[in-house]
Amino acid sequence: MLEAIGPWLTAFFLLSIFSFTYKENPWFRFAEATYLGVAVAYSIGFDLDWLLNQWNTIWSVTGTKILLFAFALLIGLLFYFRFSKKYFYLYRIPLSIGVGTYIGLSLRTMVFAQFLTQIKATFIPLAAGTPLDIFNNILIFVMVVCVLIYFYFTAEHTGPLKYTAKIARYTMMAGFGSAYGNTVMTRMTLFIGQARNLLKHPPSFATFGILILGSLLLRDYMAKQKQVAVKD
Amino acid sequence: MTKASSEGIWEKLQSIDSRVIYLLMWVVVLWPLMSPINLPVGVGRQSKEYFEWVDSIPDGSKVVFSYDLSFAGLPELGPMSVATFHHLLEKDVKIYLCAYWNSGADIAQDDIELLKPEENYGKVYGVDYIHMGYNPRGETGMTQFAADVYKAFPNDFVNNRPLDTYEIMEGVHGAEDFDYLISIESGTPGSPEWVRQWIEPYGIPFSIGALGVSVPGVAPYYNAGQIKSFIAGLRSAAEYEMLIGRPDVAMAQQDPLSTTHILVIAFVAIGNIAYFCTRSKKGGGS
Amino acid sequence: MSWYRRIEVPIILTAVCCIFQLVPYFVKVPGWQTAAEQMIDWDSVMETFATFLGFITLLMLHGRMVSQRREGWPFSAWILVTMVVYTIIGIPLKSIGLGKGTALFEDIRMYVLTPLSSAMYASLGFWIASAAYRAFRARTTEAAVLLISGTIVMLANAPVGTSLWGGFAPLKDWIFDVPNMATMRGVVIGAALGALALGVRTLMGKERGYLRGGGG
Repeated sequence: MLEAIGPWLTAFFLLSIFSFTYKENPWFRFAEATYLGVAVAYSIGFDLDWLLNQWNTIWSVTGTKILLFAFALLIGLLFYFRFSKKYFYLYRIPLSIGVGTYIGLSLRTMVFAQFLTQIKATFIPLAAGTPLDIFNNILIFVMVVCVLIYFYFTAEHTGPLKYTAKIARYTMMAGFGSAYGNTVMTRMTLFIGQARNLLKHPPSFATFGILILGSLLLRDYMAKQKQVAVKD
Repeated sequence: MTKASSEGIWEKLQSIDSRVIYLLMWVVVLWPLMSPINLPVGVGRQSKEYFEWVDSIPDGSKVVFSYDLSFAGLPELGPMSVATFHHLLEKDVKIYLCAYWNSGADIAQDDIELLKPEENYGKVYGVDYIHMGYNPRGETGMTQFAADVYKAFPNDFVNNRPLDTYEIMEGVHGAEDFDYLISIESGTPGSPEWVRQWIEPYGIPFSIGALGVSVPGVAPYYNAGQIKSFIAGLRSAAEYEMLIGRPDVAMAQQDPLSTTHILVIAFVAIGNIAYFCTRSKKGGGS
Repeated sequence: MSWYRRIEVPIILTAVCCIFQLVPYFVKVPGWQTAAEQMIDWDSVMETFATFLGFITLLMLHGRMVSQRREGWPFSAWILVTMVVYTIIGIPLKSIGLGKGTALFEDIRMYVLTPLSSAMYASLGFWIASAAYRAFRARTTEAAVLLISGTIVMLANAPVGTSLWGGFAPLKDWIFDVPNMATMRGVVIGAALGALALGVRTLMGKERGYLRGGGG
């Protein structure tokens, strides 16, 4: 339906968002407002579609399931009492069911996945493999232990803890440097991708580029002229 | 040049208008896109591991390919998802597409329309591959999928038909019936959730494609063997495209990747030189 | 206060639902695992009915801005228009051409939502360049370590860096395998401990933050 004006819409919205780098302006605010409205509605469309499929395929087949679905709808509607001061306590009911279920599901395997398995992987044979492997294994063991001790804030980092804290800080700085380097790549890539999209349709890029930048420069110029006139 | 004017240069550099920086960004991105330099791209360890892992998936395996990405992550993750899907389509495996991000479901559909499995690979929808659609419940939805795929994804995404009417779903009930899991991911829900709900309970071999910014978070899971291989970032995506013999979008973006990185390194260098010069002149060497 | 308004009711409900999912994973009780799975299915449907929470929040917030003609109210009006129109387009009524997968829904997704969503995050590239210039200073030895590590990784990620010297890639791999992995492992273990503690506190009813808030 919108194929003919699609590239023009894309260029307009991309450049409107990027215009924020010059200064906050109405183009950016218009694009931001559009994004907010459309993003919320997009999620709703998907959720409603999933609910309809759940009803048609799973919950409408037997009487018991229909009752359960109706009960889920009733309890789910209690979420909307979030907006009421008087009946706010009703909002807590579906929330507590959801939170309790989620905590139960995530906790039951977290102990193994993020705790025991990670600890097991740290306590590896130190003297195995090439000399570099041995060096790395020892370093990893020392660094992990030091980082864990560093996050133990109940005791002050004095005495021997001062040295483990120092090792931990240098470890973390090296790790965060790696995070920074990769973050730069991601952020640049996101921009490069959109610049490529703009170059796919040069007329729209040029038109809206000149229009938006020109209007911002003109607005600045007129504001300056006004300031000069007021001073005079 | 007098001492006073050289002081001024460093101080001026430190207080330069940010819009000059942004303009330089535009230049270093647009120029190599319009006039490619074509620097060589070597292959790193991670891309090679990921390629070999996908390549080693035996024929007849059932592979869950989850699109857990947003539109914002497309420049980095889009090339990975297309390349991985292409690689899987070239093999004789059953591919089960799904998504835990609503945008991921649409992106998976776009990839199907781009690669045209029927025309280009001789595959049949519903027999060799299927798009199971989107589940809105995140980690709870992953648990649901592990227990019963038909509850998590009642209908397929393409034809909106009940999932159990397709030939590819015969004998498939939950996580135990799948052999491999691949997730291309932007954030949460993502690999920690998959590790908790699929890998830890069921031990399914798992690999991911992730944003460069997610690399640090992947490390402990990769080191512990919970994630078998991964590609992260545009550079890895380009290397993977080279390995599968299909240089595409990621390769085309390597030149501006180089120029932007050089610019950032130059900014860091100039900023630090200016800082140390002004600091030493102010503090008198303290 | 009537018993049904007491805070203990949702706390008990949270604990019961949590234990209902936790126990069958460790203890094989006939039928309990099946019941827990059915509870997940029911809970998934129940929680998805909350999909309009964001819609109503925006409606109330921006509706107030429009009705009171506050600064920027035309943009608030535009938010409401786009939200309502696209929601209507997304209602699953394929018989009248509405719903996900229809031409208009997909075109708006492709030409409006995708570029907007992408551009929002793409503009971070500018900020990171600006931050690199203004804020990234090697004031201390630790900051210098961060800077050197970051520079090595950046040079390894860019083809120009690996073309200049092939050693950047193995150095980047070492930084990933050793200090980065050690840091993140410490963070993951610490986060898991924290999550465990938070879960236990929630079960005991000591953690009530998620139950707070309220009103229009």
